[in-house]
Amino acid sequence: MSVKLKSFVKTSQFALLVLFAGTWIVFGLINPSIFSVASFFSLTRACIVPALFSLALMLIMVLGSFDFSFTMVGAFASYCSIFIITELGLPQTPLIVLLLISIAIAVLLEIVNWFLIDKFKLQPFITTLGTHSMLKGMILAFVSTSFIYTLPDSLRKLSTNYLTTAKFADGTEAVLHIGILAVAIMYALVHVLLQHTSFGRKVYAIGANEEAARRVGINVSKVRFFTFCLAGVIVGIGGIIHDSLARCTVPLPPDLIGQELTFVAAVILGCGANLQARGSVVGTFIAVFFLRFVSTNLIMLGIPSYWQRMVTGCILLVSLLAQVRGKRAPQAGKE
Amino acid sequence: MYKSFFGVIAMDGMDFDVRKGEIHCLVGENGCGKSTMIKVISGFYTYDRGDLFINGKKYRKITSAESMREGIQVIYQDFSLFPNMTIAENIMMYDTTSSGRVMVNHQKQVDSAQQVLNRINFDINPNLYVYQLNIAEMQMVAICRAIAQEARLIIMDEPTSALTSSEVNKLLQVVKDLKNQGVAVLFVSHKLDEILEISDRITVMRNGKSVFVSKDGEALPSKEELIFHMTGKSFSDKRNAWNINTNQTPLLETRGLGLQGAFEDINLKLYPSEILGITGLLGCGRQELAEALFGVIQAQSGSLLIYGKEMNPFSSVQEAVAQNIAYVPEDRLTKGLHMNQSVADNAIARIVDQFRNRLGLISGKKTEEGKHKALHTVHIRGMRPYNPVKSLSGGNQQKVGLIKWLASKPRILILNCPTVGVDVGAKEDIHNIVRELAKEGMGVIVISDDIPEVLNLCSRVLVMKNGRIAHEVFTDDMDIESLEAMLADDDLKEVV
Repeated sequence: MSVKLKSFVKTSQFALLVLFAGTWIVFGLINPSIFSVASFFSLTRACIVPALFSLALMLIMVLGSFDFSFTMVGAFASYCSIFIITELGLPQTPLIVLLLISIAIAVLLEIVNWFLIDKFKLQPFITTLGTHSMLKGMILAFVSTSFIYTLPDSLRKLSTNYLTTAKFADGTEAVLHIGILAVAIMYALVHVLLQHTSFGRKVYAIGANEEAARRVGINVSKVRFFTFCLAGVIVGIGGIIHDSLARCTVPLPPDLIGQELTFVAAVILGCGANLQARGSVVGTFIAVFFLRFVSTNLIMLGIPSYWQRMVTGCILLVSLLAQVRGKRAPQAGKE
Repeated sequence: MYKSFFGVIAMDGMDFDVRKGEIHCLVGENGCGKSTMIKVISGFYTYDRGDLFINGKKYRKITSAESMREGIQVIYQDFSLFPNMTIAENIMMYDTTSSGRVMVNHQKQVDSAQQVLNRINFDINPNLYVYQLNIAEMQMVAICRAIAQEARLIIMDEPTSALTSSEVNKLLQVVKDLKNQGVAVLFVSHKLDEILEISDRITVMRNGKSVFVSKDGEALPSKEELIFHMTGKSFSDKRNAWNINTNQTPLLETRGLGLQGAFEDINLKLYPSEILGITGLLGCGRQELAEALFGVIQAQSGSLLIYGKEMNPFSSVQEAVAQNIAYVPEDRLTKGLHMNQSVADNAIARIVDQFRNRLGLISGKKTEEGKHKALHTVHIRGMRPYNPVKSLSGGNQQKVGLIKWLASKPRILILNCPTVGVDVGAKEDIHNIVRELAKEGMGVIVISDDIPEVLNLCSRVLVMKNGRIAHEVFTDDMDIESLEAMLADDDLKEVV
């Protein structure tokens, strides 16, 4: 264990954790309520949805590909499934059925992405930018433009389901929402999948060098297919949880659509990304919490929201610069 | 009990065989069909006519999976490694992908990888990431990966072109060890000296045919014979007498040029019509000196005299270009050419400003004329002007690099390793072009670690060591061995 701990200390994920802790302390000195359990609970609640969506994106980025449409896919799948249930007048539909419908739609949409990228060798970023825009129009044109405020019963129950509660000093209550369990389970599963199964190693191999992966006999197309499907599963679940927490569903939720770059930032920040597909599940998890922590607390300190975006951008750029420097050093020695 | 291929390949009836545990070298000029043959054997291409036998079994069509199952492994020039994974993971990659197990046992992976590393006496921590390694180490990892797959034939495609001479020796030792363990090695290379040192047998290819196969037990052919078989012509190993009039003003002169950590106190003179060689081991400062003479990096001390006019060391490439200096870098892939652009566009990239019409816009007609003129300065066989440069072979790419600079009519031409990765025929072409240019009055500096090339091309050679010019040599009474000895000699003799 101590050997493992030692090697963890050297990783950039650890550096990120240290940075996070440092920021926590600085903000906590300004606003002591940040040190409370209640504050931690409310941060956790705010992180559930970003954590799931970032995880899906990370999978695809480890594969060396990119998906700009993942938020739209998640929003599309969850809105459609709730819309169908509502239209059919079946508010008693159990949660599992809702999830399955949403997952099915999301997987189908991700398969479209896979098909375009894999079969026609299209550039992933531009392709998914296209599908993103297409879905955005389709949901309004073919599905509905209305906001649905009366969610199915199971989702309403889910939104108030929590593990435990804590109180802020002023008596307001904060809850540890049950959705964090979904996050924990998904992260653990993906971590094991990527690090400890041969499928996961193939994903990393393709991300590093597609041609070389083909030469060692990996069926690139197949692995890519399953990775996109898996991302579909995650955003399908993420979309439903998002709607449950929001207590309504809208065709284009503003905290997902248009926030893609924040998720990209989390993945890159967490990767120790020297941009060579070394994505890390642990790193993404820490990065999501870190970015959310910074932006939430900037609001609480009364700093205007456009500053938050700038801060997120700066954190991302500075961490990229640090990684580039760290990577170049050993190479210089080789010359 | 031997393994044999008897393949007749689509191209032009190629007969070829490799036996168990032998080191077989395949040589030939670029584009003679070597790579096609490797791709057929490894299952990436199919062949149209003829037969292919592996381990006595006839294959009409072989897939890459079948080829691997028969124990054939290719070490590609780019190694096909995964930089984001550890050495152990790379070595055991086949095991991971094809064993059918769902889970990966990391500890077992490291142990098995360590065993493979031990087999070729390669001492390195298997937990290092591949992106942390240098080229030679990556190559060893690629070889280990082939061994881990129980390879019985390892095909190495130009394995030594990116290595320094001590790394080459290490590689050749590993190849010999493999042979002793019963693994056959098919060694594809341009470098005839290595080939003669290592092979059991040699096959020479030309135009898709095998034109020469050395026989068992017979002595290997001489270098001249090999070159003759490869090109169909014989080249003389001639020397040039130094007949430069030293009363002329030198085109380029440096006085005490220095740059911390790279080179110091460089005094050299380049006369019109002279081909001056600069050689030295990797890291002796020749690279930096070349870049300083072209303003890529700036020298810190000393001064330059261009056409007799004293000036400060160049601080930018633009300053050097303004003095009519051209520089063809050693790495044409990343520094010299626009690979995806057409040959014609590359040829005029330097002089495109000359094609402006009165409005200052680029005139299409003038550009076409310019392309036509530029491409006629150097002959490139089989070249189509509107195909991208990357479709050309290495030698022809290098010629395009030359054309590009010649179009701007330089008076001083600096060539950095002009023939790395270029076959014998194209090399000779490039040398002839350079000789012609010098005859017309251009001053040429050739920086190269290819000793025969330097001796063949230049009349005067400066040998650099630890950032200083250690010797000045006139090539007409010099042979390869004594110049090589001079390079390898460690103690710094008095500065000439």
